[in-house]
Amino acid sequence: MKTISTLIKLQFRAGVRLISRDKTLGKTIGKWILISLVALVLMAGFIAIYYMLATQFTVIEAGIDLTVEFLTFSIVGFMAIQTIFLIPMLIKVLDINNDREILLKFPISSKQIFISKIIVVYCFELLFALAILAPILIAYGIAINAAWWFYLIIPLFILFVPVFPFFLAIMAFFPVLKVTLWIKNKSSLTTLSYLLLLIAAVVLYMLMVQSFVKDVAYGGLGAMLHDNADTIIRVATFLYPAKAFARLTYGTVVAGFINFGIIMALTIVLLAIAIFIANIKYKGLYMKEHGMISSFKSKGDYKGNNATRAAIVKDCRNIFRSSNYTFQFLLVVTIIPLLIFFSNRIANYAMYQSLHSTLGGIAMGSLAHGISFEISVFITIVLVPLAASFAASNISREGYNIYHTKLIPVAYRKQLFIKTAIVFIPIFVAILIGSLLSMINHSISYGEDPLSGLAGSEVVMLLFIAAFLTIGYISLGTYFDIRKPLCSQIGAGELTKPTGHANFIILLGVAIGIGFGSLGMLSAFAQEIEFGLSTDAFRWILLAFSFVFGAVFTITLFVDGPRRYNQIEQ
Amino acid sequence: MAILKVQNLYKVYQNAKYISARNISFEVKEGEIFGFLGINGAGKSTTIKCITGIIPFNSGVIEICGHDIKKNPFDAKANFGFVPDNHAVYDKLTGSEYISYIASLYKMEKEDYKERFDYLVKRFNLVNAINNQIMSYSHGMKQRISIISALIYKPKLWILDEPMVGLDPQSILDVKNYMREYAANGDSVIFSSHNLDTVEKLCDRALIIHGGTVIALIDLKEYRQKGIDLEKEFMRLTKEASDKFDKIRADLLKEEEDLAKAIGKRKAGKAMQRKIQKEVLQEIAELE
Repeated sequence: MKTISTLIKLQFRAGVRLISRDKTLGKTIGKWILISLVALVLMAGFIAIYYMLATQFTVIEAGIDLTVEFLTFSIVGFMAIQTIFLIPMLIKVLDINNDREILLKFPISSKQIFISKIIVVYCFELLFALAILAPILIAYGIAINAAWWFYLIIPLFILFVPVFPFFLAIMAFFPVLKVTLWIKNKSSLTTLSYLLLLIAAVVLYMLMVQSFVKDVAYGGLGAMLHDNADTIIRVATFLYPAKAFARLTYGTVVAGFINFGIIMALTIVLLAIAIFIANIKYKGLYMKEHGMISSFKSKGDYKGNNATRAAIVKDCRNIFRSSNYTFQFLLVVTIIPLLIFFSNRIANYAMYQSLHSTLGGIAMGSLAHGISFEISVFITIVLVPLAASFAASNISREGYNIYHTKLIPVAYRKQLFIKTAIVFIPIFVAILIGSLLSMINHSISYGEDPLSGLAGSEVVMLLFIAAFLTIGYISLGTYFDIRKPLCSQIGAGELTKPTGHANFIILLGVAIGIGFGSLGMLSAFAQEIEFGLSTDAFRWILLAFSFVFGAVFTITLFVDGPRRYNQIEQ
Repeated sequence: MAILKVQNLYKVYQNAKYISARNISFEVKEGEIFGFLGINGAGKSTTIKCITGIIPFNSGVIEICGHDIKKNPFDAKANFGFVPDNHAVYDKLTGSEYISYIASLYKMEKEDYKERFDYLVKRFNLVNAINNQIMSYSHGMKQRISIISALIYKPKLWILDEPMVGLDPQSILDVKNYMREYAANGDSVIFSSHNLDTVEKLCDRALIIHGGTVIALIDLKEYRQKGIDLEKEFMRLTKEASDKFDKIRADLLKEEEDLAKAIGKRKAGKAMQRKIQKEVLQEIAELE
């Protein structure tokens, strides 16, 4: 037991470092305040939407009560999200390569290591549940006017709901780990196949959302729920244990105790199964060497003396053969056009409900058409920094190989150009495809559908705005990275998560996106009431800002960047 | 003719509280094997990184085949090949992809490349693994691919930082033999090492540095003729330097501690950094 508690302490010390070594206390507090503020804003938005949905589900026409079902689906949703987050976390924490060689030296069994590691994971799960599930339940309680004791049993939810994602994640962990190890360092073709599978999943998900929004738009949420109430109730009946949790809050005291008994019994059985299977499997994994799990052969023929081409090919190979952070970049880039296209369609459907209504004398249909461009701009410029932030590790990703870039007889400016172009070109192509899809959408008749899409001139404008902003984000991210690269921290390994600079670029991008998106929609509204700024004028202002933003940071990177690059001492 | 010329080299790292290279000067001649000796932290790797242009330096002149690394970096870089101490290579690439990438950067002709590639791969015994991904290579194989990449474009100067670390006896012998062959063709080799025996047997001359300062430039041919033991001489010289250097460091530490009591640890550290930078600037000014 003492060994396990020592291992748990070690895990926390190694994994949770609230104050970075290279940061002052002030900077750390500032960082955490910023993170908390962003999280609070996001959470507040999410809870507001959840509250509105809860009131819709729970106050329908007489004879239909979906209160329990709504909570059941909420818990299922939470469990699904937690399971998805848990699998990579388990892979990271249980990773046998990380500490295998260190721990094998000590008189500790694989069972002790496993138990200590899963306790740490469960602690993080509880924190996750506290941060997400507790506000959801409180919002639900307010929406249904719950009795006082409902709030008292919320800790029970926090404690027991995570058991089920935990069970599912442990069961999924071993096959996922096998696939991950198989994918790792395989050829570009394998990575692309993996990517295509994920894209197919995204398309499927977006089609489902679109279908839901369309149903709601054509009939309203109330009518949709009314028509499908039987199906919803029937489906929810099978969603145990979420249904048992929901029923804890509803019905008689006896029913409550029965459901609690079901939850407890399920918890004990599932935990026992999970630990039993995982312990056996983990022991097998633990004792096996995974260092050289896979590599492939390829004959690198000499293609001639074009240094630029060689550098581009090398960087692309490095990106395509990575299963870590670079893969995330590829994923974001490939889903950009899909999200632009689907979001545009979904937003249009969402506005259909109020298409023929008026707001303060304004025809909503006209407004809906007017802000189609602004929606595309908003979606694009919020997504772009997610992909462009990859440039904020352009230099750090070299790790120990940074010396190569300094040795070769290729100018730093040229190297920076290649590195930024490799990030820019896929993003630009993604935006181009997304815009063209929206334009095609615009030109096709959908009968009664209110789809407006984008006109040709709007596509061109969107492309320029997005391109200038992308160049700006990429240049700024790369410049930050040159000033403070993390090459020595990354060493011979691979970058696995966004750096601080990348997070800054994402935050900046989201702020600009929200700013422009909301201002754009306001300008469309202002045009309708013939007041102030016209939509056209706003679009030109947006274009001018993007141009200046892109130009300033590009000039900064290519003028001052080479000098700073030369000063890197890692 | 000097293939490598280092003159009055000064280097202080941005956040350092001591000087990593202080007024280092030496030359490496055509066809010479030159050793670079010193204990850990003596400044060997820093000097090599300055020579190769990997890190900037505060003052001094470094010329490779007559090309100034600061003023004319591309011509200077085209004339040397470098093997680092950490064997860092792009391990997602296969061996042949990596070598062809390097050859493209140095603008090799296709015919030359084919001939040279086949020769070096055979010479360094990587024929069976050359098309495998580098991440599957052992430590020694990574070192060998790093050596091939440094030699593929026939540089005039071959620079190696701790080249024998991690190599098996056969590979060490191969590298030593190739160094001799390389120098016999009129090209030059400079390498740093902790292995005094290797340096004694292989090098024509050697430089010993300690605390970033040159403490001796030794003619090893003369040593061999007179039967002087390099190991004993190295120990004597570094001991003398250590006594002096340790005292300087202790004084600096004491000064920082006193300062920390007065103005705080962080500010004291910064003040010491500024002091060292100022000291170096003064020395450079005096030299000029």
